[in-house]
Amino acid sequence: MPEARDPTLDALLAAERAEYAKRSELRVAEIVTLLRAGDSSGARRGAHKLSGSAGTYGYPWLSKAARAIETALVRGEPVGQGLIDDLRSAGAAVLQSVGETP
Amino acid sequence: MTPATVLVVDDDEDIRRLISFALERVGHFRVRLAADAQQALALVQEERPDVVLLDVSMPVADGPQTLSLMRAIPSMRDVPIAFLTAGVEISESDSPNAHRSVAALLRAGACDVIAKPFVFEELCERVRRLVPPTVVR
Repeated sequence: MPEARDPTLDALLAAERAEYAKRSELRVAEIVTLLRAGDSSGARRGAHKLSGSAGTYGYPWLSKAARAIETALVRGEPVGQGLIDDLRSAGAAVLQSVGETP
Repeated sequence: MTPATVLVVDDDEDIRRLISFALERVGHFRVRLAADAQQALALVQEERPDVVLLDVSMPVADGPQTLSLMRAIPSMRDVPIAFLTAGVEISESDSPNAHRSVAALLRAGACDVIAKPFVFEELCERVRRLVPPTVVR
Protein backbone atom coordinates (compact mmCIF):
# COMPACT_ATOMS: atom_id res chain seq x y z
CA MET A 1 0.00 0.00 0.00
CA PRO A 2 1.42 3.43 -0.84
CA GLU A 3 2.42 5.62 2.07
CA ALA A 4 -0.16 8.26 3.00
CA ARG A 5 1.18 11.74 2.36
CA ASP A 6 0.71 14.76 4.57
CA PRO A 7 -2.43 16.60 3.30
CA THR A 8 -0.67 19.92 3.86
CA LEU A 9 2.05 18.75 1.54
CA ASP A 10 -0.50 17.83 -1.11
CA ALA A 11 -2.12 21.26 -0.81
CA LEU A 12 1.26 22.95 -1.19
CA LEU A 13 2.05 20.80 -4.18
CA ALA A 14 -1.30 21.63 -5.78
CA ALA A 15 -0.47 25.33 -5.36
CA GLU A 16 2.95 24.81 -6.95
CA ARG A 17 1.35 22.97 -9.88
CA ALA A 18 -1.21 25.74 -10.37
CA GLU A 19 1.56 28.35 -10.41
CA TYR A 20 3.48 26.28 -12.91
CA ALA A 21 0.38 25.97 -15.11
CA LYS A 22 0.20 29.76 -15.35
CA ARG A 23 3.93 30.03 -16.13
CA SER A 24 3.67 27.30 -18.78
CA GLU A 25 1.38 29.52 -20.87
CA LEU A 26 4.27 31.94 -21.23
CA ARG A 27 6.70 29.12 -22.05
CA VAL A 28 4.40 27.89 -24.85
CA ALA A 29 4.08 31.42 -26.27
CA GLU A 30 7.89 31.83 -26.19
CA ILE A 31 8.44 28.63 -28.16
CA VAL A 32 5.88 29.66 -30.81
CA THR A 33 7.50 33.11 -31.09
CA LEU A 34 10.97 31.57 -31.49
CA LEU A 35 9.69 29.18 -34.17
CA ARG A 36 8.08 32.04 -36.07
CA ALA A 37 11.31 34.03 -35.83
CA GLY A 38 13.23 31.08 -37.29
CA ASP A 39 15.28 30.61 -34.11
CA SER A 40 15.44 26.80 -34.20
CA SER A 41 18.12 26.58 -31.57
CA GLY A 42 16.21 28.73 -29.09
CA ALA A 43 12.96 26.90 -29.82
CA ARG A 44 14.67 23.53 -29.30
CA ARG A 45 16.06 24.64 -25.93
CA GLY A 46 12.65 25.98 -24.91
CA ALA A 47 10.87 22.81 -26.01
CA HIS A 48 13.43 20.64 -24.20
CA LYS A 49 12.94 22.55 -20.95
CA LEU A 50 9.17 22.58 -21.24
CA SER A 51 9.09 18.88 -21.97
CA GLY A 52 11.15 18.12 -18.87
CA SER A 53 9.35 20.49 -16.53
CA ALA A 54 5.79 19.69 -17.69
CA GLY A 55 6.34 15.98 -17.16
CA THR A 56 7.85 16.60 -13.76
CA TYR A 57 4.92 18.80 -12.69
CA GLY A 58 2.45 16.12 -13.76
CA TYR A 59 1.33 17.39 -17.17
CA PRO A 60 2.44 14.56 -19.47
CA TRP A 61 0.38 15.71 -22.45
CA LEU A 62 2.16 19.08 -22.51
CA SER A 63 5.49 17.28 -22.08
CA LYS A 64 4.67 15.07 -25.06
CA ALA A 65 3.65 18.01 -27.29
CA ALA A 66 6.86 19.89 -26.43
CA ARG A 67 8.96 16.77 -26.99
CA ALA A 68 7.45 16.31 -30.47
CA ILE A 69 8.69 19.80 -31.38
CA GLU A 70 12.09 19.18 -29.82
CA THR A 71 12.46 15.90 -31.70
CA ALA A 72 11.55 17.52 -35.04
CA LEU A 73 14.10 20.28 -34.45
CA VAL A 74 16.83 17.86 -33.36
CA ARG A 75 16.25 15.89 -36.57
CA GLY A 76 16.32 19.06 -38.65
CA GLU A 77 12.73 18.52 -39.77
CA PRO A 78 10.29 21.39 -40.26
CA VAL A 79 7.92 22.06 -37.38
CA GLY A 80 4.50 21.96 -39.00
CA GLN A 81 1.44 23.93 -37.93
CA GLY A 82 -0.02 20.68 -36.56
CA LEU A 83 2.75 20.39 -33.95
CA ILE A 84 2.32 24.04 -32.99
CA ASP A 85 -1.44 23.60 -32.65
CA ASP A 86 -0.88 20.48 -30.52
CA LEU A 87 1.44 22.46 -28.23
CA ARG A 88 -1.07 25.29 -27.85
CA SER A 89 -3.93 22.88 -27.18
CA ALA A 90 -1.85 21.03 -24.60
CA GLY A 91 -0.96 24.33 -22.92
CA ALA A 92 -4.63 25.35 -22.85
CA ALA A 93 -5.55 21.98 -21.31
CA VAL A 94 -2.98 22.54 -18.54
CA LEU A 95 -4.53 25.90 -17.71
CA GLN A 96 -8.05 24.48 -17.78
CA SER A 97 -6.98 21.67 -15.46
CA VAL A 98 -6.25 24.24 -12.76
CA GLY A 99 -9.41 26.24 -13.43
CA GLU A 100 -7.81 29.00 -15.50
CA THR A 101 -9.13 30.27 -18.82
CA PRO A 102 -6.51 30.26 -21.59
CA MET B 1 21.62 17.58 14.03
CA THR B 2 21.99 19.18 10.61
CA PRO B 3 20.33 17.41 7.71
CA ALA B 4 22.35 16.51 4.63
CA THR B 5 22.90 19.37 2.21
CA VAL B 6 22.04 18.78 -1.44
CA LEU B 7 23.23 21.17 -4.14
CA VAL B 8 20.89 21.21 -7.14
CA VAL B 9 22.27 22.64 -10.38
CA ASP B 10 19.73 23.16 -13.15
CA ASP B 11 19.23 26.05 -15.56
CA ASP B 12 15.44 25.60 -15.51
CA GLU B 13 13.87 27.63 -12.70
CA ASP B 14 10.70 25.50 -12.79
CA ILE B 15 12.72 22.34 -12.20
CA ARG B 16 14.79 23.95 -9.44
CA ARG B 17 11.59 24.96 -7.64
CA LEU B 18 10.06 21.51 -7.79
CA ILE B 19 13.22 19.62 -6.84
CA SER B 20 13.74 21.99 -3.95
CA PHE B 21 10.13 21.42 -2.86
CA ALA B 22 10.54 17.64 -3.04
CA LEU B 23 13.89 17.47 -1.27
CA GLU B 24 12.98 19.92 1.50
CA ARG B 25 9.35 18.97 2.15
CA VAL B 26 9.43 15.25 1.44
CA GLY B 27 13.07 14.32 2.01
CA HIS B 28 13.82 16.87 4.77
CA PHE B 29 17.14 17.73 3.19
CA ARG B 30 18.78 21.11 3.23
CA VAL B 31 18.88 22.42 -0.35
CA ARG B 32 21.09 24.91 -2.12
CA LEU B 33 20.32 25.96 -5.69
CA ALA B 34 22.47 27.03 -8.63
CA ALA B 35 21.38 27.93 -12.16
CA ASP B 36 24.70 27.18 -13.85
CA ALA B 37 28.23 25.88 -13.42
CA GLN B 38 29.61 29.25 -12.37
CA GLN B 39 27.11 29.63 -9.52
CA ALA B 40 27.59 26.00 -8.52
CA LEU B 41 31.37 26.29 -8.34
CA ALA B 42 31.08 29.42 -6.20
CA LEU B 43 28.68 27.64 -3.82
CA VAL B 44 30.79 24.49 -3.39
CA GLN B 45 33.83 26.59 -2.52
CA GLU B 46 31.76 28.40 0.07
CA GLU B 47 30.36 25.21 1.58
CA ARG B 48 30.96 21.58 0.67
CA PRO B 49 27.61 19.88 -0.09
CA ASP B 50 26.95 16.25 0.87
CA VAL B 51 25.41 15.41 -2.53
CA VAL B 52 25.21 17.23 -5.87
CA LEU B 53 22.42 16.82 -8.43
CA LEU B 54 23.52 18.13 -11.82
CA ASP B 55 21.34 18.70 -14.84
CA VAL B 56 22.91 17.26 -18.00
CA SER B 57 21.75 19.85 -20.54
CA MET B 58 22.87 23.29 -19.48
CA PRO B 59 24.19 26.18 -21.57
CA VAL B 60 27.88 27.19 -21.39
CA ALA B 61 29.11 24.24 -19.30
CA ASP B 62 26.90 21.15 -19.45
CA GLY B 63 26.53 18.55 -16.70
CA PRO B 64 29.59 16.41 -17.54
CA GLN B 65 31.77 19.52 -17.93
CA THR B 66 30.52 20.90 -14.62
CA LEU B 67 31.26 17.57 -12.95
CA SER B 68 34.86 17.72 -14.21
CA LEU B 69 35.24 21.28 -12.93
CA MET B 70 33.90 20.24 -9.52
CA ARG B 71 36.19 17.22 -9.30
CA ALA B 72 39.16 19.54 -9.84
CA ILE B 73 38.37 21.17 -6.49
CA PRO B 74 40.15 19.09 -3.79
CA SER B 75 37.22 19.22 -1.31
CA MET B 76 34.82 17.95 -4.00
CA ARG B 77 36.76 14.86 -5.07
CA ASP B 78 34.69 12.46 -2.97
CA VAL B 79 31.30 14.18 -2.99
CA PRO B 80 28.64 11.98 -4.66
CA ILE B 81 27.39 13.62 -7.85
CA ALA B 82 24.32 12.39 -9.74
CA PHE B 83 23.01 13.58 -13.08
CA LEU B 84 19.44 14.67 -13.68
CA THR B 85 18.30 14.22 -17.23
CA ALA B 86 15.23 14.35 -19.39
CA GLY B 87 17.38 13.14 -22.26
CA VAL B 88 17.88 9.50 -21.32
CA GLU B 89 15.27 8.56 -23.86
CA ILE B 90 17.16 10.46 -26.57
CA SER B 91 19.23 7.51 -27.72
CA GLU B 92 18.72 7.73 -31.45
CA SER B 93 22.00 7.42 -33.26
CA ASP B 94 21.32 10.58 -35.28
CA SER B 95 20.71 12.67 -32.18
CA PRO B 96 23.43 15.10 -31.09
CA ASN B 97 22.61 13.98 -27.56
CA ALA B 98 23.22 10.29 -28.30
CA HIS B 99 26.54 10.37 -26.43
CA ARG B 100 24.56 11.19 -23.31
CA SER B 101 23.41 7.65 -22.70
CA VAL B 102 23.13 6.51 -19.09
CA ALA B 103 26.30 4.44 -19.53
CA ALA B 104 28.21 7.44 -20.86
CA LEU B 105 27.02 9.60 -17.98
CA LEU B 106 28.10 6.99 -15.45
CA ARG B 107 31.48 6.72 -17.20
CA ALA B 108 31.79 10.51 -16.88
CA GLY B 109 31.92 9.97 -13.13
CA ALA B 110 28.32 10.19 -11.94
CA CYS B 111 27.20 8.03 -9.03
CA ASP B 112 23.67 7.83 -10.41
CA VAL B 113 21.52 9.09 -13.28
CA ILE B 114 18.05 10.25 -12.29
CA ALA B 115 15.46 10.68 -15.04
CA LYS B 116 13.02 13.56 -15.23
CA PRO B 117 10.10 13.37 -14.69
CA PHE B 118 10.62 11.82 -11.26
CA VAL B 119 8.44 10.67 -8.39
CA PHE B 120 9.15 12.70 -5.24
CA GLU B 121 9.64 9.75 -2.93
CA GLU B 122 11.89 7.97 -5.41
CA LEU B 123 14.03 11.07 -5.93
CA CYS B 124 14.43 11.50 -2.17
CA GLU B 125 15.28 7.85 -1.65
CA ARG B 126 17.90 7.90 -4.38
CA VAL B 127 19.47 11.02 -2.91
CA ARG B 128 19.36 9.45 0.57
CA ARG B 129 21.34 6.49 -0.74
CA LEU B 130 24.03 8.84 -2.00
CA VAL B 131 24.49 10.65 1.31
CA PRO B 132 27.67 9.45 3.00
CA PRO B 133 26.97 7.34 6.14
CA THR B 134 28.61 9.90 8.41
CA VAL B 135 25.99 12.53 7.51
CA VAL B 136 22.38 12.70 8.78
CA ARG B 137 20.11 11.24 6.09
